[in-house]
Amino acid sequence: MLTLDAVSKRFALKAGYFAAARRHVYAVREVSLRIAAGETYGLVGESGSGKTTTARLAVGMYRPDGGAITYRDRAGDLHEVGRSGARARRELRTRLAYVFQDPARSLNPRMRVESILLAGLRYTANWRGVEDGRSRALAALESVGLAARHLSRRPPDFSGGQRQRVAIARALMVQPETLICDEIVSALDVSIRSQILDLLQHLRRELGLTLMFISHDLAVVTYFCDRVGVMQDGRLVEEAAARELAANPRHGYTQTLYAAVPKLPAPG
Amino acid sequence: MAEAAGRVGRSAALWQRLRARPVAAASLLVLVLLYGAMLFAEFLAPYAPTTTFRHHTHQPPTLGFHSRELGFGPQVQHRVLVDEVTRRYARIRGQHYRVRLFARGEPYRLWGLVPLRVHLFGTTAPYVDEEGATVQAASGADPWLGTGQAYPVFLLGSDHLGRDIFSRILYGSRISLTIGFIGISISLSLAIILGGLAGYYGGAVDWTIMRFAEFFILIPGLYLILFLRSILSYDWDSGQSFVVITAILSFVSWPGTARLIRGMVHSIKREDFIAAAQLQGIPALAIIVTQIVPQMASILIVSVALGIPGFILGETVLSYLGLGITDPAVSWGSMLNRNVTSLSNLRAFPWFLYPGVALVLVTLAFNFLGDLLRDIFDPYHQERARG
Repeated sequence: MLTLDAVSKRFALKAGYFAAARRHVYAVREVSLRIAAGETYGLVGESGSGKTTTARLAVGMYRPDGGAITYRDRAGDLHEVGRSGARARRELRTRLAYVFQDPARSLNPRMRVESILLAGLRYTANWRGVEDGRSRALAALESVGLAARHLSRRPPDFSGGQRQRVAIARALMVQPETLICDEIVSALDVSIRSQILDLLQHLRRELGLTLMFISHDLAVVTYFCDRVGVMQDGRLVEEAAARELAANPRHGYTQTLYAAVPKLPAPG
Repeated sequence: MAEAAGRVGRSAALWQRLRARPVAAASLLVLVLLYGAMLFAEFLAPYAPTTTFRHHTHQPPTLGFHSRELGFGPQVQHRVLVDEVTRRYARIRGQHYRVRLFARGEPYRLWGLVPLRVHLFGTTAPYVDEEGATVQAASGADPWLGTGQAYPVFLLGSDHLGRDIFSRILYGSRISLTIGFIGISISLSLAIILGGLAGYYGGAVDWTIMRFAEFFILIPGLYLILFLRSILSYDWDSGQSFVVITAILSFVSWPGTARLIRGMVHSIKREDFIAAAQLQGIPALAIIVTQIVPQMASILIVSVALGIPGFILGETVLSYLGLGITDPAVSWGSMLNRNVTSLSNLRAFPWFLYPGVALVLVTLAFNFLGDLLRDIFDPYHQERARG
């Protein structure tokens, strides 16, 4: 169970060298949310609304400037995300995993898929030697619909959809409980998009994953998630079950978002 | 697919460019030949670097190709010293010795393993001095000297002790040509680690390392080398001084490369795949070495090719000043130091400059090759070349 409690994050604005004081911009302001084990939580909002920052805070990539982020794992242990201790980080890494938006940028173009998959595992408590790592890499690759022959290829040899599958496989290598997906389908074209969503759906059922799913596509989120949070200007403005939100958006901003979904004329 | 195509395209482009640029192709050929000669120095050189012909000091190149007696073919004419002061030699009419391929000569061990006596070329005529007596063992331990030396053939002349300059150039290349590779690998490792850490961490680490590097850059290199050399002891054997010289040169040359690497690491670390690696908990040094450095492989290849001549010249400068390789070890720099001591010396015995010719050849070859590699790998240069 992932809990964000009044979390804020600000970034320093680039100021001139002689500027008197540093100025900040708040990317996330006092966001509180809770994702139960096994749940799929969607986070929507327009560009710059703080979705990605929230996700990166949740996985510990950024340290919050205010509030607390905690994670309770399946065994019931409570971890504090964003704490600096090396051991705390190491424990969290095998429970929380993160998938980046653009696989063309998040996979090192010069490395073979096998070394991409093994690179991170090597430094976790789950490392049992190269042989074991290789078989796990193969298992992870097969679970995302790729085959052994792909192990020796490099990311540029793959199509966009396949690359995102590799990125998901990398996240699955540590056998995480929770997967945080940051707009993982927005860089893909529509036909591939549904394949990746189906894959994620399948993995969620198979592995019992908890998912935090970030998107700006309301249709996808409504279809895919149990609960949805709506973000605007770094604040969480509305939170509801997906169907309820689609049927009856309360907040003005959410209504605007739904109104902005292009309506295609019915065929025929 | 794009990557694979790029790979094929790259090696194809290399061949295409080699054909389009004969100078670079010739450079590659020169380097291959010189390094090959370095490997087979014992076989290719007619004499050991320490073999002296006491009655043949300061002798100009002696190989001839025609005489009335022997007709056409490689041969040497017997020469006798006639002027002790100007070291002038007179040729004896009618006394010619054939230079044979695969002649038996001094015994040696190829690569320290295979005992052999055959050299690529040499004479089989006995070595006789002015009085007509066959010269016997100068140093008794050597069986070849013990049974009498063959009459010497000096392809590039002999030095002030009567040693064959051609043989010494070949043996000297073992130091002069390897110091570049060893030096550049030490200095590049230092540059990758220090520049990498500076670029990766930024902030105070960056500041400290780069100010340290700039301190080394701002001291004139030669004085720093001389200072470092002078605070270290003098009486070393050749192996030790080789190591020390290499270390000193590497120590002086890392900051420039470190600055280059720091800048590149600084930009590459913003990539998403580095963020992914950090998130996975991969240690900083492992990220730098396995993920960041391969991204700039092409730049590093170029900087290696262009950096090697610097080391070769550095060794030469040190040896020329008498602070580097000393007898009995031989390097191109130490040969110049021994022989080229004054201008009148040079005017009288211009063949003493042959090690310098070898040096210029190697330096130019590495530079031309480096230029070619840069044109292939560096996209900006490529565009300029096309446009």
